[in-house]
Amino acid sequence: MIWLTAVAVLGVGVVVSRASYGPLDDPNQAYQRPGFLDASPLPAHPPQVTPTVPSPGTRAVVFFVRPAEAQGLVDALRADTGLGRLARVAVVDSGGQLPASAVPVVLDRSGGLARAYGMRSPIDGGYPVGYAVVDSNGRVRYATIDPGVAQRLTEVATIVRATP
Amino acid sequence: MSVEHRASQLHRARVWPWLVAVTIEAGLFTLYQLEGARYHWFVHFFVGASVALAVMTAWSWRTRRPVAHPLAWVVAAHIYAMFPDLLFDGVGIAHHRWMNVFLGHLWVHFIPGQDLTWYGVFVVALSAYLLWLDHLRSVQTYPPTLKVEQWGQGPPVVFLHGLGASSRYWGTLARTSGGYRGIAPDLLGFGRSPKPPWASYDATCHIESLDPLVPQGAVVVGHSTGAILAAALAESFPGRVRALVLIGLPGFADADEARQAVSRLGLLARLTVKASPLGWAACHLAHVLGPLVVPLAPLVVPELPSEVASDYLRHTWLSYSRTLKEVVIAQRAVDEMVLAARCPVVFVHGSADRAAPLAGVRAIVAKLQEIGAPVRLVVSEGGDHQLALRRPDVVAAALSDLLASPGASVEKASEASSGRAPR
Repeated sequence: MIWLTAVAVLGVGVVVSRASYGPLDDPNQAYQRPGFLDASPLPAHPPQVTPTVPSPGTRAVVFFVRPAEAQGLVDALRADTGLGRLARVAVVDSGGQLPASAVPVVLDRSGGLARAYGMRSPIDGGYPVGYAVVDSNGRVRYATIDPGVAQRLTEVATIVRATP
Repeated sequence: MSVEHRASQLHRARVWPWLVAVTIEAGLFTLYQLEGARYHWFVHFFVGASVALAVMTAWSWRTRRPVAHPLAWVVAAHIYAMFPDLLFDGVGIAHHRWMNVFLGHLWVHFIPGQDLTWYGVFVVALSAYLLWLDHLRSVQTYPPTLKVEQWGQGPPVVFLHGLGASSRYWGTLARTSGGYRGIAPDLLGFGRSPKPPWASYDATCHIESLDPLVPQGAVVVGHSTGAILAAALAESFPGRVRALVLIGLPGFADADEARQAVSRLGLLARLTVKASPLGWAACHLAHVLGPLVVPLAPLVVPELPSEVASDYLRHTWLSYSRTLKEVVIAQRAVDEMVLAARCPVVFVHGSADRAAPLAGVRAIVAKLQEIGAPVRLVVSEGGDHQLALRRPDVVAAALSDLLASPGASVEKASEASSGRAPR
């Protein structure tokens, strides 16, 4: 009986967990923050976001956000100095008024940049919130949806360190 | 043993492991939840648990007995499966493809259906395990066969050791005495005998397992807990047991007195009596470290022969704690058992026995003699609880007298004293 109870509790847990996926989450959870490079086919040579991102010989992190998340991410990046030392950083906003920032912020209303960096579409089909990591050869090695990325820059740094 | 009784024992056995396992898993789940990654917790839990269940099923199929700590297997396999996540969050090491050695840590996410599929695999693995256990219990003979040492020729004498000991406890006495066929089992749950986790380890359970080993007309010699079981055995099979020798019998007036006396024996005994989780943890730690701890036992208990000291670690928490509680503390009145047995009884006791004070046995003997029961008390002056080890001559003499003529032996003196035991 106790094992059956455990099975029932875990079953309910899985269902509740699935029901609580947010509109910004990846429809396929396996691709959301998988934690390792080259999890899926990614673009070899993505376009420039800014003149220096990406740059040959340097790693780069390109964040993709919607206007509602942009200011929070920019503030988090300002507070976190570690990531800036590991890679060049840029933020791509899907629209609205660009926040004042020390890191370059560019506009991508059409979603072309996000697609070019291999970002997947979230459950609501809108602009993805997450980031892509480019290695020093200019190849995208990691692209993931992460609606809470502003609170998880340490995790981004871990991925960047693993990127050549 | 009734089904209800077995079920209640089973229930007690399950509570602590479940509490510990659920606490650990809740902690791990919280870690993932804080990282917004509960999906990963579910996947790795189902994968780890499924592998653990498959291994447990295969292991119990091979050994024909259930795995001792199933929840520990499940939790350990889960931690192994999720280990790269601990490296990621704890040390900042990203995942690499070789980390698939941790039960396919990376690729398990990419199968169709993902966590739902793994949930299905988990349910199948658990069903297979439970069905196999059910089958195993239905075909397994009960009671399990005990490990038995036998020596000598002559009338049968069955030796029942005390709590935590084994048949090897009787080695010194066997070398000192003779003229009989010695039959010394390791009690259920002790020494090299089976230690089934579903056994109740009460007197009824022990007697069921001893039943096939007691020939008609046997003299039964019991030490301490074994003495209680010897009396219970004679009561259960009146006529089959010819006489009893009860060495160091723990004769307590009631369960409270028994609990107090046992508590005085040391920290571990006190923890066991109080059913403390610390006692449980210490016992399990000793089992985990078994190969290291067993050789050290003679250093910890230098006053005992090394093989006897080593055997004090060859039991499980269940067998030890339940036997202590169900046989020693919750013992039935020994005088009633002896009366029902209707056989001569010699009590052999040390005057300096701390574990089972002499006064308790004196009271039992006096009560029995008052109503004319054929009993006799032999007191070894200065002797402690381990008379069969330290004064085997005293025990051998009592046994020899009984074998020669059981009735005459108990009638020749109501209380005899032997000399001071050498220390």
